Amino acid sequence: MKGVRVDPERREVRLLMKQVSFAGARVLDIGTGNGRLASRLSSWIHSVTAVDLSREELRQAYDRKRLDKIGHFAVADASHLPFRDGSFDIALFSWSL
Amino acid sequence: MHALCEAYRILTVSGCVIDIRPFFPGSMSSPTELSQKVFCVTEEDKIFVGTLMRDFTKFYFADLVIDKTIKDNNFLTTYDTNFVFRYYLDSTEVFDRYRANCWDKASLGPLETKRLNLLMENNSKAIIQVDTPVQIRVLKKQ
Repeated sequence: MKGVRVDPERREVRLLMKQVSFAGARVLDIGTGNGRLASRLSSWIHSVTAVDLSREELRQAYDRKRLDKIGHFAVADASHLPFRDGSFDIALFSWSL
Repeated sequence: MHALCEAYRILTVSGCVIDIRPFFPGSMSSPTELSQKVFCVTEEDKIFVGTLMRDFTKFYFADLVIDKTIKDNNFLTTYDTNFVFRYYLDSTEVFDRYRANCWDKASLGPLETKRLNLLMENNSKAIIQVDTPVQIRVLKKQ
């Protein structure tokens, strides 16, 4: 939303970078919303699959340029994920669990 | 918590879950009392205005279920910390829209609203800052 800056200091990502190895990781962003966090991690990860029940929010994530080349998007229910066992290195729940 | 069970399934052997959620101090008596503090930030000062009233019940009770699920589903907590997650909003109009659309219609008390409006009117370059206590946990698949 215009006029809003969300964690511009990048505190969230800086804390995560100290604890998690994102280099080359395949990330599943469950309940991605508008894709904000996935977008911020995009420089370090191999790929991100963003899922959400809301098509509208998923559309916002889809439109983020940083997710252009590495992003995959799917409408899906977190309790019935349409992916094979062992497909991802990181499962990300940002305000969605 | 079936979502965590699914997360366990789709993760590789050495995979992990990252869970980011609002932080509820143990001493809280009510799940809606999460302290989301509102400030007016002017060129000279940062002025505390009040606390947003927002229903975080779903997260509070999810916390209780998640702890049990973690044990049942063989996750090990390798990292657990809290920090202040910050939002900056350029005007009271943006603040109202964001609360309505993104924060479950969270509200500020009438006196606090009046105070915020006055502060923003009297300081042309002022912005609104909202601080939310947030928890990050990393859960390693076992």
